[in-house]
Amino acid sequence: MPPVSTERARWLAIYILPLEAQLRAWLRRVTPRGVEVDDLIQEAYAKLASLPKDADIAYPKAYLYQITKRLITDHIRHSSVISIEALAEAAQMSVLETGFSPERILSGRQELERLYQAIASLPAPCRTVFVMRKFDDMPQKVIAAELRISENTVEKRMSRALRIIIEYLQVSDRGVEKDGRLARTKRQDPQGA
Amino acid sequence: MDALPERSDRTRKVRESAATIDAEAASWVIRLDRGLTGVEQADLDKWLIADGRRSGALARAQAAWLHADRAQAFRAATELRAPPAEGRRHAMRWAAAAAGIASLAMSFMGWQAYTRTHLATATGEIRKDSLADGSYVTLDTRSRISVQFEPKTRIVRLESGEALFEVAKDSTRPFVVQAGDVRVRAIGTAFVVRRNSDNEVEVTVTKGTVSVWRETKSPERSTRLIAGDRAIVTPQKVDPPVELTDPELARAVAWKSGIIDLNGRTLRDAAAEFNRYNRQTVVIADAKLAGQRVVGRFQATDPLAFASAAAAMLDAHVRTDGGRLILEGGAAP
Repeated sequence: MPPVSTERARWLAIYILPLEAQLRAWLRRVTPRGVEVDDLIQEAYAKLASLPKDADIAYPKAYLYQITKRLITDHIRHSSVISIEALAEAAQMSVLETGFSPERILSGRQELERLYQAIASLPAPCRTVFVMRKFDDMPQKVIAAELRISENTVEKRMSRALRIIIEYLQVSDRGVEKDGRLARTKRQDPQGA
Repeated sequence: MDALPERSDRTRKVRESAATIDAEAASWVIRLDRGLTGVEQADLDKWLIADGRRSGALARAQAAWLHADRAQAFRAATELRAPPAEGRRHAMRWAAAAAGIASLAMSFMGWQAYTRTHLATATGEIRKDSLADGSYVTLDTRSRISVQFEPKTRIVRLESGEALFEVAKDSTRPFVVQAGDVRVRAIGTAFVVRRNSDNEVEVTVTKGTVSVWRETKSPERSTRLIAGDRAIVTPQKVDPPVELTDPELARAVAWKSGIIDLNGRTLRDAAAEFNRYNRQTVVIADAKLAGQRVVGRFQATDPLAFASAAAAMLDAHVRTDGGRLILEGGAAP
C-alpha cells in the first residue's frame, strides 16, 4: 500500500506541484534565517499528504500558503532564540494572490514544456528507461529484459531520472536563481534579537 | 521531547538535509512503482516515522512521478511519423519526439489533451469554465469531469455529478460526453448530463440536437433528443425522450444560478438535493413527512431557509444537531 493514496498524489500533482516554484520564490523572501525553504516545502507536503482522503479543498493555493505560513510561525516559536520581531513579521505576511485560479493551474502548456525540458536534459541511460516507463508504459521488469540490464540498474537510473525531474519542477519559469535567499533586504539576526 | 530539532548551525549539520531526503524519496517512489517486498515495506514505514519531513518528500515525489505521465502527450507528436525500425525503437521515438516536439506538439492537440485534464467542484461550488475548443462547461456541486481532446474527437468524461455543456460548433470533431457507458454526442448545442446514480444518467437538451446511446449498442441505434427533451438512461435502455415544458426546462438548469427549484418533489428528494450543495445536511426524521410534496425556489446554499419553510408548510419543526438540520413532525417540544 502506498503511503499516500494515489488519489491524493494526483491531487498534489494537479493543484500543488504547479504552485511550487511560485511558493518557493515567495518563501525565499519571507523565510527567517535558520529556517530552510526546502524543509518548509517538505513539511507542507507532509501536511497535505496527511489530509483525510475526502477533504475538500476549494482553494488549494490559499490553503497551501496558509499551511506554510503556520509552519514558519511554528519554526520561529521552536527556535532556540525566539525573535519577537520575526514572529510579528510572520504574522503580517500576506498572501496577495489567494483564491484558486483554474486558468493558472490548468494552463498545462508551460508545465508540459518544462517537463519536456526536464526529460530532454536527462543523461541518456536515465532517459531511455524513463521514456520506456512513462512514454510507452512498460513495467520496470519488462524494461530490464528488453535492455538486458538488471532490474536494480533500471531502478537506479529511474530514481536518478525522477530526482532530476523533481529539481526541474521546483524552479519557476522565469528562472529564479538557484539558491536565491539573498533577495531580502531586512533580515533578523537571531543572535542579536 | 521536542518534535522540532533546534535550529542552531551546530545541530543543523547532523540533521539530514532536505536534498538527501528528496533523493531517498525518489528511490522509494521507484520501488513503490515496481512493488515493495515485505521487508522493504517495513523499511519504508521505519524511514517515514523517523522524520516528519520524509512523508512530505515522498508525497511530493509521488506527485512528480504522476505528473510525468503527461509525457505521453509527446507521444501524439511521434505517432504521426513512420514507425522506426526495431531495436533502438524507444530511443528513436524519443529522438523523433525531441526533434518534432517544438514544431508539432506545440500546435498539436496532444498538448490540449493534457492542458485540461480534470475539473472538479467542491461541495456547494458551481463553476463555469471554458474548454480548449471554445466550448463551455458548467459544473454543478461535487462534480468531476476529465477532458480529452483529440484531432478527431472531443471527449469529456463525467465522472460524477452534473454538468451543463455548451458546445462550440465543429462538425469535423464531434463532442462526446461519456457518463459510465452512456454516450451523448453533439456537434454544436447545449445540454445537461447528470449522473443520478452509478447506473442512471439523465440527459436534458436546452439547445440543438444530441444523440444518446449506451456504449454496448452502436451509435447508429442511438436516440435523438431535440431542444426541450429529457431522457433517462438506465442499464436496460434509453427511455423514450419526454418533452419538457418551458418552466420545467428552466428548472432543469436553475442550479446554474445557484437555485434549487422544487416543483412538487417529495421532501425526501428535496433534502437530498440540498445535501448535494451543503455540508450542513437536512435530515427528514419521519417517513410520513418525507413523502410530502413541496413547491418553492430556494438558494441552494441556504438549507436553513428551505428547512424552515418546509417546517412552516408541513406542521413540523427544525432541530439543529451539530452539522445537521433535522425536520421533525409536530410543534417544537
